[in-house]
Amino acid sequence: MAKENSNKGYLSGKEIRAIAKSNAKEMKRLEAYKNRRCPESEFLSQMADDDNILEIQDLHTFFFTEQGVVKAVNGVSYDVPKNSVVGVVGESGCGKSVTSMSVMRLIQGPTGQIVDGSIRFKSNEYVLDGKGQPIPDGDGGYRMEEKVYDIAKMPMREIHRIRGKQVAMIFQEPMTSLNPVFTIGQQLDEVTLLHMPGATKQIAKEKSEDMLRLVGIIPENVYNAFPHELSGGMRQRVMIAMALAAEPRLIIADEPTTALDVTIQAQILDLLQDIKNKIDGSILLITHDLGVIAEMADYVVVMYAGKVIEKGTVLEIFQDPRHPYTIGLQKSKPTMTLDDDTELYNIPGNVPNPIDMPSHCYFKERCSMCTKKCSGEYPGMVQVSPTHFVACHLYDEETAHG
Amino acid sequence: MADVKKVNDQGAPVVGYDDAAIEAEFRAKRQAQIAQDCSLPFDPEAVLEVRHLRKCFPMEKTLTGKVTKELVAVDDISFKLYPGETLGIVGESGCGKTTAGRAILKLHQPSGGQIIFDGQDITHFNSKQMRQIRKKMQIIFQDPYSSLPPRDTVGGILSEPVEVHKIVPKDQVKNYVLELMDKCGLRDYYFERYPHEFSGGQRQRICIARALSVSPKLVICDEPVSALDVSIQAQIINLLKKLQREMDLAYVFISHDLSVVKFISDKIGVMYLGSMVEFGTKEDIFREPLHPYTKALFSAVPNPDPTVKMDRIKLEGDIPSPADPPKGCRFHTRCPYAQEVCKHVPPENREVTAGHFVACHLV
Ligand SMILES: Nc1ncnc2c1ncn2[C@@H]1O[C@H](COP(=O)(O)OP(=O)(O)OP(=O)(O)O)[C@@H](O)[C@H]1O
Ligand SMILES: Nc1ncnc2c1ncn2[C@@H]1O[C@H](COP(=O)(O)OP(=O)(O)O)[C@@H](O)[C@H]1O
Ligand code: SF4
Ligand code: SF4
Ligand SMILES: [Mg+2]
Ligand SMILES: [Mg+2]
Repeated sequence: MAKENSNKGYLSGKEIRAIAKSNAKEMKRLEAYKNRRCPESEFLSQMADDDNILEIQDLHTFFFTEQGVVKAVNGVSYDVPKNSVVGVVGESGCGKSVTSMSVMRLIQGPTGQIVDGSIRFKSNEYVLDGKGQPIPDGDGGYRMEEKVYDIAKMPMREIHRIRGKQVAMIFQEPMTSLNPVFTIGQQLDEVTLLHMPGATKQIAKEKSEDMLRLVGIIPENVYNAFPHELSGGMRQRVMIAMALAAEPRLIIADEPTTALDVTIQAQILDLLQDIKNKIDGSILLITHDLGVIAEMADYVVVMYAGKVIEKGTVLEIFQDPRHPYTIGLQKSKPTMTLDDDTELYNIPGNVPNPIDMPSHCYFKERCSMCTKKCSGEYPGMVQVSPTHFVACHLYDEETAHG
Repeated sequence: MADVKKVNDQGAPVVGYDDAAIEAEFRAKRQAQIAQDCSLPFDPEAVLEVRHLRKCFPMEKTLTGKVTKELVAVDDISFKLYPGETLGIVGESGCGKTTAGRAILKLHQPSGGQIIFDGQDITHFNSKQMRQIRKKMQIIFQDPYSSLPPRDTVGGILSEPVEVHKIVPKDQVKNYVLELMDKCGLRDYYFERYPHEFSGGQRQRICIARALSVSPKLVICDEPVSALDVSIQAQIINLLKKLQREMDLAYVFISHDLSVVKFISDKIGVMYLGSMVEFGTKEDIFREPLHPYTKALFSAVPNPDPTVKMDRIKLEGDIPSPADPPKGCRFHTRCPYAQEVCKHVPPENREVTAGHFVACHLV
């Protein structure tokens, strides 16, 4: 709020031209990097911890806009362990979706670019022979191997190795990812035909029907239907079925229930929980609803203005929140048990302008606990338990970490 | 109502129900009830009395314009609201909350029932008569982004209704607006700024200030915080509560978020597919929800405490289309307690304890 008085936000012609010039140069360089041809070795990597399926480290994803560079994701690090649900919460615009879109490499260029950092993902894929065909393992299946990719460094032409196949995404508005002119069956079959070597039409159809049953839909009713003929809840199920058809190891669910009603939301969340166990995979769950996080997640990542400000297990974040924003967020939410004669706790003010971030803690203008130190450098990540990290000067005295 | 079960010529009960006869009987009974209720004297204390409000939208017409099929978006809702009170309306999307709010303001012409505002029956007021009333009833929308004109400054937006309705003499308009902005937590230099320069929370404050600029008695808040972040929601809810105390406003607060509704409301109406299935004071509804849908709705709210694993009442299936609602009790396709009778006979809306209404055969 402090800056609202100044003239920031109004740019002179000269400033605009300078921004455009430096943007153009950066975008050109990054586009060339994305479109390069390179040997696999350039984007193969190693997991820091073998129990993780995804490790995002120091990710920077920027948008080069006419007003300046929007640092939508500005040094984000978090891990997704095997067979777990990791929940990401935070104010709208804090970079939750941009982080997950970076993992899928769906950031729209040339304005949007992954500028720095790594996204290590452990894939499990078919070993291919010289002709690109899978090699039978002699057991009726095919030979598989685990590989660790750094998705951030992958050229776009290689992304098909993971996108939709190893990592699948469920969006908030299912209509955007279902094609209105094809039937549900056609769209589901397509996924199998694309990702399963040697699949015939018949196999694909059987697989699609299995997937529909898995998400609680009777295939006969829906296989030949078009997306617009289904209700919102049904479409969301179909989306989940589609995401599952490729047997991904990681499902990214971006606000999967925000467009739905609570009773339908409860059904879909149950379904996700169920499916995670069935496919033995992990879920990265993005939502603004703390209740959904509390019910679903094993680990929680709290983001604020493009950075992770706190992360830990679900119990740590809910029972022992450390960052003033996390504490405030939990107190601001009216709950079913809250005494309603009191005033709701509220965090004053707004998120700072993403183009013009301060050099100190981004939460300082809204923080009721700030000390002298907070006007200094941006706080580093402090480890307060083996699994609990917080970026706030109040904890600088505790065991400092990297 | 089990006695409407069909009997055959010999007087023995037959298996099954005569749906047409049941519906005819139900309609006749309701017509009589409506006629009786709508002739009652107005409650002089109430700001708003809604009696059997109904709103249908035509779906199919013949070439001559005769409506052959209609969608009943709001079917028979009734309540009273006193100054300083908030009625919370909850329900799933598409259940008719917005339509009800708009019909009360006569932004939709009601298809049936009666709306008594400030001691006057406004149901059949024409637009000229409504103009006199408008300033006393205002609305705040869900989307603070599209509900403000982009080309006008905040000052302009807030001054216009004050000038049109001659709330204060012309030379005092600016001072009046600045005072109002202060009340709503808007800084004075915003006066010269444009809506696009503000965040969602600030825009919602502008919308609130605009609604209150004409000193209304009633404000319909249609999902006013749904588009906002949790930390901003709390600011807006507190602001609405503060302004209500200061100005003795009556609110109709529409939301699908039960915890928000609980926090702000005095009375609560639960809607399902156009009907109000339960109505009562907040204490009634939260202490002892009686309708199976209300119970399911409450148990579906995710609990922000990871140590509590909730025992949910699980609803199967999807929300039926309001264009083709189920017969009998409209909730029977998803109700875990549904009986044979529920599939055929619409339950009556009964007053279970004083002021607590429930429409369910089992209650
Ligand atoms: N102008 C209209 N013409 C035809 N049908 C309409 C119109 N306005 C609303 N409806 C229908 O009436 C029903 C109730 O709509 P309404 O928007 O009031 O529901 P709601 O409970 O407020 O939903 P949401 O929470 O999604 O806004 C819906 O089925 C809707 O499609
Ligand atoms: N295509 C784009 N161009 C410019 N800025 C963008 C674009 N997409 C997202 N942003 C910005 O990135 C930030 C993070 O957005 P996002 O990740 O979508 O937020 P959320 O946490 O709500 O999912 C916001 O400041 C947003 O305005
Ligand atoms: S670093 Fe300081 S300003 Fe930032 S959250 Fe911690 S106490 Fe508040
Ligand atoms: S009337 Fe029957 S179907 Fe309707 S809510 Fe009651 S028990 Fe359920
Ligand atoms: Mg998002
Ligand atoms: Mg609505």
